[in-house]
Amino acid sequence: MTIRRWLLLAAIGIAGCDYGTPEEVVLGVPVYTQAAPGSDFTPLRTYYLDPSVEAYEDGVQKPSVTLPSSVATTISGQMQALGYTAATQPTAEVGLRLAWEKTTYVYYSGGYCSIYWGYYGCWPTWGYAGSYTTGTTIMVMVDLRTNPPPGGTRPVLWVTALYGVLLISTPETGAPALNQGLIRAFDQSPYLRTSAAP
Amino acid sequence: MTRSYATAALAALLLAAWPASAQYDTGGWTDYRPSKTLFNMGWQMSQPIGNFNNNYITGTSFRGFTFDWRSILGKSFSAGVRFNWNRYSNSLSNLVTTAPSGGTLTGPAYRYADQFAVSAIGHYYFDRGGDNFLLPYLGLGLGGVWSSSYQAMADLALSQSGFFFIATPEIGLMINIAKGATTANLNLGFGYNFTTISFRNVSNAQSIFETVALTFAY
Repeated sequence: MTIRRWLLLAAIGIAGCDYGTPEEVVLGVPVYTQAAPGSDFTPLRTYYLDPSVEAYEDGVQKPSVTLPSSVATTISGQMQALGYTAATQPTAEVGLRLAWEKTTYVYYSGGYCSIYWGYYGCWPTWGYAGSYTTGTTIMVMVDLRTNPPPGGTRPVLWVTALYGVLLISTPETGAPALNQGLIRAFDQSPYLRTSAAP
Repeated sequence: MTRSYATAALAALLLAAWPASAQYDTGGWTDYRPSKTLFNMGWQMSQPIGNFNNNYITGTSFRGFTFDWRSILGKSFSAGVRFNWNRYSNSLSNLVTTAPSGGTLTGPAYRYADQFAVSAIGHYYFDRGGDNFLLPYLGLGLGGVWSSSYQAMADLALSQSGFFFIATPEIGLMINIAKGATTANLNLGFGYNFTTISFRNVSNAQSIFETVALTFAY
């Protein structure tokens, strides 16, 4: 049992070509969440939300972008419902930061091809090609209560990864889907609740 | 002149051939004779049961077919080979899974499972003599099945495949629709697949199936 990206490419060989995503791609946002083993969130009270989002494109870091305001509102609402209060970075107990990566996959098959698909690269005996883009948003919650060792990093208490095939090009235009995914991430992490939660 | 010779020759040829042709038709497919060989081909629906249904795919598979060849042995038995295929598939709006690392993964997912089986088959027919408009039968297939299952979330795919054992008892009814040197029957069957197909949290995948087929015997 293995995870194989090449399987997708092989499946595309019988899927036909398209201007968009291959048929095997399931649209929607899978959401992964995980807490650090042994983490106890009940004594926590304050959080700091970094207003900038790290951005990467095809593995290359780009200038950071501003966190869309609706996304900031969603995160703040969820954190407050769990008993956290917003605070400035020097005083907050935990920090939240997002990173966004956009990756474009190009696929090609020299196999079966129908002229009815009407794609310029799709001609009998030529094979065909297309591309689609995925976006991954990662949000980490780090422990700000202790300073990291020299050259070290702060411990991560919780992470969520939202992954999807993008029909958008920037975090701003993808904010509605991002908000839905973040709400699901908080919903499936009830252990984040503090003892101060209403 | 040449043309009238040709016309006369063609007419003579037709006249000479006509009795033979007529005689051949009379003794052709409308004349009954005991069948020696059966070909069966048709459409198959299937429903997963047990943990195949509970842990992986629910609902009916409407994509399947069966094809077999049988040789008649004596009056009531046949033996042969069968090939059949079923595809089960499911779209899940929100699948919730726990990763081995303890994390939680949720999201829309698509799954399918293909089963290609090749079996040695034997059938017993309840032959009551006479015209046998209705011919009930019991059958058993034993063989191998190639299983391929696939799951996808976004463009993240996971697949498993392998070759396993399959046993298929079945009951059915042949309804005669034409009888002669070649006999045609509508074949309605119902059966059970026991396999040793195991993947993810499915073990010994099982299913029931219904077959609507045409059987040609000659």
